[in-house]
Amino acid sequence: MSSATAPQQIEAVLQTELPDEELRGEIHSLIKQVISLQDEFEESLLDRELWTSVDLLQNVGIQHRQIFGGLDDKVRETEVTADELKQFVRQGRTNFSEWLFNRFKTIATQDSPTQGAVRAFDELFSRVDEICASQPEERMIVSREPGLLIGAGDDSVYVRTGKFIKRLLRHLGKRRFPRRFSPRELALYHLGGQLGGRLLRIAQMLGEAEFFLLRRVKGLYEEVEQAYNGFLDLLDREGDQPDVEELASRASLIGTELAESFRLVGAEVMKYYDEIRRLLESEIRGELISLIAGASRAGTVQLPAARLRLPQGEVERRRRSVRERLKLWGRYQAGFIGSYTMGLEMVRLQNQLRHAVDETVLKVNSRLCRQLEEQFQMVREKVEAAAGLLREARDSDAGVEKVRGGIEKERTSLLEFLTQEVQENLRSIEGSAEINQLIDLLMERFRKLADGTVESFQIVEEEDLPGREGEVPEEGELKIAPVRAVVRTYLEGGLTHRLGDINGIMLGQVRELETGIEELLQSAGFSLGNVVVELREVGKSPTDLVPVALSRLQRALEGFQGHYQKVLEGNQETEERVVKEVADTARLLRQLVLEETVREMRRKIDNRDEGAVRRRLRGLRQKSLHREKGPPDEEEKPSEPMELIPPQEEEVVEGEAGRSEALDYEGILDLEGELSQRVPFAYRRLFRTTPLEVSEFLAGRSGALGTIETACRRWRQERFSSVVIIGEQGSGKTSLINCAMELKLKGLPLVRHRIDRALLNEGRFVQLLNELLDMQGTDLADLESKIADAHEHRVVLLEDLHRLHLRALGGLGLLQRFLEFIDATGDNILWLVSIEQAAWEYLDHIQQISRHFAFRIETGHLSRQELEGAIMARHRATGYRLGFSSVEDGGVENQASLRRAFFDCLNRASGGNVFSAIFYWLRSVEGVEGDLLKIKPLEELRLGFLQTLPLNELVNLAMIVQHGGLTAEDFTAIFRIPLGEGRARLTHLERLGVLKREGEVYVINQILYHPIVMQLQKRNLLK
Amino acid sequence: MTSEFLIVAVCLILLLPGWGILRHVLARLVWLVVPPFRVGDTVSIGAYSGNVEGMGWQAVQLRSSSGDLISVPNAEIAQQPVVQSVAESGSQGVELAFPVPPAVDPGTALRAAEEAVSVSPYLAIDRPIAAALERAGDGGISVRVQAGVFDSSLRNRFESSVLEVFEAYLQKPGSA
Repeated sequence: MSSATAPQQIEAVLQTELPDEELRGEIHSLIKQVISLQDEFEESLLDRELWTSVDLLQNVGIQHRQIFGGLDDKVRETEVTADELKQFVRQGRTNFSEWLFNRFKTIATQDSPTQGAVRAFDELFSRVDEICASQPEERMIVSREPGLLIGAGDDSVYVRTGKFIKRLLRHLGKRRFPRRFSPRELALYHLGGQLGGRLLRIAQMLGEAEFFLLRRVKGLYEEVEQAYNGFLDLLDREGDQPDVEELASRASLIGTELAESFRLVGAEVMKYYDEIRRLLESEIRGELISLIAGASRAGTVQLPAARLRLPQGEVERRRRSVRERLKLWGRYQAGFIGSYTMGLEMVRLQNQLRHAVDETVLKVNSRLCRQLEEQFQMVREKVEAAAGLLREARDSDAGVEKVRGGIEKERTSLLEFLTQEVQENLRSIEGSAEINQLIDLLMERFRKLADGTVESFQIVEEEDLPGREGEVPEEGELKIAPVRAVVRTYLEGGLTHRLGDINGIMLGQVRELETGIEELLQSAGFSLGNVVVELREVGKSPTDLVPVALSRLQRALEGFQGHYQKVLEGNQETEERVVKEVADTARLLRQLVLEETVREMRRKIDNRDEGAVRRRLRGLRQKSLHREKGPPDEEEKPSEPMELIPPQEEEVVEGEAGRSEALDYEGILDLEGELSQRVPFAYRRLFRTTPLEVSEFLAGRSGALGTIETACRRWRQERFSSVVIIGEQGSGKTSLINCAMELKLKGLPLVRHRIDRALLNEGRFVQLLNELLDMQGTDLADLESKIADAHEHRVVLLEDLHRLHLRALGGLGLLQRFLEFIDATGDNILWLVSIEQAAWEYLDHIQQISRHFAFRIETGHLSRQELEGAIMARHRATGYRLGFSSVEDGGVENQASLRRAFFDCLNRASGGNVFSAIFYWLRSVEGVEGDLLKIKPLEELRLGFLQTLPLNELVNLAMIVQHGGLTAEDFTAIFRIPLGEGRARLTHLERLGVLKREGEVYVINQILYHPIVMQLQKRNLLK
Repeated sequence: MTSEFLIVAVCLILLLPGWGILRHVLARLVWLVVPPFRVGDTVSIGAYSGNVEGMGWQAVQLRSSSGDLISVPNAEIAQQPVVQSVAESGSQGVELAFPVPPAVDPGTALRAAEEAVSVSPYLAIDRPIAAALERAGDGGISVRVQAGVFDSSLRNRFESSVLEVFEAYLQKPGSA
């Protein structure tokens, strides 16, 4: 290609610089070989390397034409509807993005996309070496070149004098001197060494071209997306009867605009091609001319001369620079496309997630809604039929006995229908597998989704990318974004956790209807039964009684409808919640991945630093040994004097080697993710950290249950017996209440409610109590008198009492009034409340809350034996055998001592907190072999970062612990700061992994709860 | 005569400014036997409070909660009461007095002060809270509150948060 232009100039130089024909012939032959090599190199370089982008660009064009090419014609089809057009465009977009995503993924997951270029350069270098090697080692000619006798800058005085004398002799006596030189050395100097430096510029331009062309591909894709989004918008605006001409003109415009974009990018490709080719030619030509000039002066005229040869190391260094430069650009390409593809992957995942949720939760929820509606309709019809009968009885002149018989028959039939048919149906719905196993199903789908994601992407963030041409890439490693790990932990941890109580909400819908049925049973049974009894025994007239019964029945039906309305709301809430959770997944996951990537980089840097320190210490240790044994060898001599580092530092460094475990939220989620791989699902289910529903696994609470029993006994004797259960989050308060209900409170009239969000408004609280106690009080005082008048005894379980207060101005009043209410109603109601430990300590300090309770149960910390009992009770239920492994391989300790040691450690690490202990236990599961579950020695989490948290942040945490979670609004009310500042503080703690967000409420990350409380106690923030 | 006059003059010139320096040294000498606090203690001396970082012959260095290094002259310390946090937990007692505006009912002001202290996020829960009305120097009424801050370095924040809530309470409609 280039041989037609460059040789003319080179030929001219050859003629002028090398008048000696023999020498000129030899150099000419060498130059011809190089030019031929240049042609081959150029072709292979542009084909192999730049072709990646060009091929991609061309295929983007081809794909676009194939997918959207028929849009014009499709628009003009007479039969086509707006929906079909939308479907066509949407499908096209999906296909196009899938295709491009796969191409991008291929590039992004390569080690270096510039491998082709590196190979081309390597081939060039090896061919150059061959050409050089083929040159004769030494030549001797009788040279006419006068240049040889001209003193050169690096000549010694001796050589200069010699040259001067020879020049004089040549001039005077026409004497010629034989010239000796090495063509191989000459070629090696110029082609092996100097050319390497020139090729660096080619490598730079090539890498740059490839990178910027990839950016254009991305730009084109976005342009295509934008264009068709606009088209879809137009279709939406046009409605069902679109203006065909306008659509056709728009489709044609899109086609034209995109074709123009493709053309422009094509022109840009050609520009890069030309520039690279031109630069390559000019550099090689330049070096060949320099070689000719060298040939005219190389060699000696029987005088010592400076050797041309570059040190071999220098040649290698220059070639390495070329390779490195290409690899650095390749790194940018992979990182850039990796970042972009990761975003596409997240969007893809969000779509799949939505699909999975549609297929599972939403489908089950909608089916549940239909089933409940069916039951509701049946009941309504039946009750309306009964009401119709009453109306007939009211209006008829039939005898009392006949009316009574009819009503009694209807009553029996209604009650039978409600108890035997409807309640049975509801129980069957409640126990249905699709609701109860929903979360398992969802987790299975999530696991498949996580497995389907790319394991990791190499990424470079936008701000680290070169923004303009001519920039030299910076050295450094690519960040590795652990996509699959983060996705898995998010899906199986965060999202599942957040969706975790979905089946609870669904069961809540069924229970709501069941409650409605219960109430209806009572009301209908009472109203109809009353009529029957009074007609029979009192002898009243049907005209007096039936209207009353009718109105009661109507009211009961209205009440039942109210329950059904709540069912519908619950159903709607489930749907909204699920959709909302999935809606922002792509953005959230991308953020999580980036944060984890940065964290991973830091860990690497830390480890590297630690590695350096450790190496240094190893050196010191060796020196120390040598000091004992004798002087060290020169090579092993450490660079630092030993005295600088005391020996104990090594322990510090070794101790810090596990800093990669300095836990934060994602780190913890990672741990949870790891569990899913090691621990069988059935096993994990038994070790769920949600409160126990049954007493089977309850351990160490016999004293507490005894206290509740005593309180019940006293209360039956009409003595004030209110009970407060105090404990940290995760200490088992709810489990204790569940088990107390099963074992000690069974058969008692009982209502239970958990205050799940801050409640500071007295009106709303009174409404809650009204619902619980089935009363109609206007305020607490009114309710108090109503309870006193009713003389009705019941047990009220109220969980999370601390949510009735806020440590802010006006935030303590409601709780104070409620405590007085407990005092006033204690004769009729056995109050059993639970409260967060920190809130209790605070409230007792400022309000002496303990005065309002007769019994106090603290679920604080289990003893070592109790903890072992709690874990082993769960374990035994799984059916697995247990094998504890020793710290050292091949340890011969027996299982009993290993088990003892393990539970000692577990007790220490968990501080007697059940939640924490379960977490550590699962974390220690090494794996399963057959029916043997292997437990490795317990590794405590390193939570050193908690100790370095500033005091201000600890105050923030203390407030969240005390309130059991805070919204940003409540948090700002406590500190009397602007909302933005409050959000910033909370977000910071969330990013540290210390807080988690549950809807609007920020709560302490449960895994860190106990260590945080310990730290707060240590710093005197909590008692 | 002239020489005697000169000696007296020189002594006066040396002693008068030197006395100031001597006072600090004397105070430090006394502390060698009976130290009022030690390095590492958290103390309040007059308007200053902080952690004692060093005890020199001229001054004591306190590190305030905001990170400033404050040098309090020894002689000044010798003349002032030194409040030292006594609780092992690190909490420090704080006494605050708020003048009750004439338009405000003293009982309301008392409740305001109690609530303001109670809800402060910096309140130490290992110290009792006490609030009482008293006659102020200008003949008016003031509320005096005694409570504790959980960490002496946050004393200023505690005081500020109490004052803020106190004022807000009094500005609530109907509080007067």
